[in-house]
Amino acid sequence: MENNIRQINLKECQNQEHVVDFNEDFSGLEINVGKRANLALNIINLGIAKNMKIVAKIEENGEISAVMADFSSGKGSLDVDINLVGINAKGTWRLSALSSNRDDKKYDVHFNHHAQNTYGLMDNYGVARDSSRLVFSGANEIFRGAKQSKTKQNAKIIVFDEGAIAKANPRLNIDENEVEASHAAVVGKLSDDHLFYLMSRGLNLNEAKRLITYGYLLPIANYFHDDSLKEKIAKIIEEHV
Amino acid sequence: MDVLKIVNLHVNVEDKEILKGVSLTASSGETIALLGPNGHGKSTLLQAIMGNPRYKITSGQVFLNDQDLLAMSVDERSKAGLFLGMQYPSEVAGVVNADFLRASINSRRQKPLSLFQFYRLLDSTYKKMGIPFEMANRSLNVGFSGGEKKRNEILQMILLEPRFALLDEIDSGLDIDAMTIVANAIKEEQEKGRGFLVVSHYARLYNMINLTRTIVMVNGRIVVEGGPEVIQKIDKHGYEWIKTELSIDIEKEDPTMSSVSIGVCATKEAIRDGK
Repeated sequence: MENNIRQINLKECQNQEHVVDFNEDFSGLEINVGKRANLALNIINLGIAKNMKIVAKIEENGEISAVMADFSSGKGSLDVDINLVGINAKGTWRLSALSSNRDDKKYDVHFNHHAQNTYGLMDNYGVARDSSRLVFSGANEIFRGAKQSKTKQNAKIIVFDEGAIAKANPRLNIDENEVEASHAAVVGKLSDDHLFYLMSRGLNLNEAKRLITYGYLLPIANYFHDDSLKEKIAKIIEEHV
Repeated sequence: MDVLKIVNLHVNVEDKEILKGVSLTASSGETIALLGPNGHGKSTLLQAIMGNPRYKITSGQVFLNDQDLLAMSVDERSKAGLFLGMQYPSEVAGVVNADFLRASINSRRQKPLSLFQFYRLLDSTYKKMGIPFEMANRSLNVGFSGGEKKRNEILQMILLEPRFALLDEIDSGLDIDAMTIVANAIKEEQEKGRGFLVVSHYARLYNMINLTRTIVMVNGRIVVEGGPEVIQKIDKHGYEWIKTELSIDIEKEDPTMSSVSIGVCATKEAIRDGK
């Protein structure tokens, strides 16, 4: 069902862990993290890709740490808006995404720093294979008044096959002084030096590629809290690579 | 007995001819010291034998016994019994040492080692190399010091039991204790009858292992063959005597090449730093 919005509301000082499975029937997620509240958000998308929107508001001293494993297939897009509205609000976003076959996947992640001493970290990691398309857009905005804020954005995509298309569009908009902001974006193919090194120890090309990709995608599993979910993600990565 | 035979090898790196006809035959049980000024083809020879795609072989042949190595892929060469201990081992984030070592060992076995056998072997080899066992669970070479990387190379050599080991400046970055560990490990492998081709700039490592021959490469060719006295001479006097005694003009490294050239030890450092 379209326009089915799911809500997560954390009241003052609440600590919660939530597992969100994109396979379930909803198309948007609205999150409110109250003062001094802490939300650990574990997102999985392991089925069919779809369009999804996540909007989060983090109040004073609140924190969200979101981690997402996306090994879905098909065409889909994800928009994420993390609004750091209270002083000392903190947000981290970590994504590990794989696109294969003719998948077409887009991610647009925004961190909006509205208050003083807020912190935002975005890490988007991806592997694009076959004839798929994978696009990471990221925007970190520090608005007037958000002094002493720190924001950081990393995007890295390995392009596995000739036919795959990968793009990383990082953006920083800074409208205040006394802030720290940085971004890094790397899109490239598997390193020939790495492949040579592994092959010189007897691994054939496919084994070498497999080991490197596995090692690149797997660390996301460590950020998931639930052990059975960890195992499930590790298993899916193993099946895919 | 195993024989590694290199016949009139010519190798280009980025369209520049680095090796200009190298011939060398090495037998198992031999340890050959390979010296020469920077940029004259030592690393190129080793990398080309192992099959690094950056090094283009324009003519010549390399055989391991009756196998044509140049017709084989890199992993096949490894499985045939060739090992290259690299000067700059890659750091591969996410690839766990233990997983990598297990895959490497099993790549050359009919029946894979059981997990128990593997960990017992790993544990004893780590101890021998003086590497903390926790490193087995870290990413391959990531955050390792120069010396740790080199010890990790020798550790791999021990585990993979090659017929011929090509060691490229395996002693650089090692303190004297680590050098002793590495030299002892090499000596132990020498006793098993393996063949070695060892590149180093320093007499120290050479003095600690048992050499059978010394060769010197200049301008992409082997110009001197001899015994340990050659090493002592180079250690004392450098390479200038080659110019006067053999009337060979030693080509200087092309400064315009140094920022792009691969395979020249001094310049490779520059490339690495630039990454």
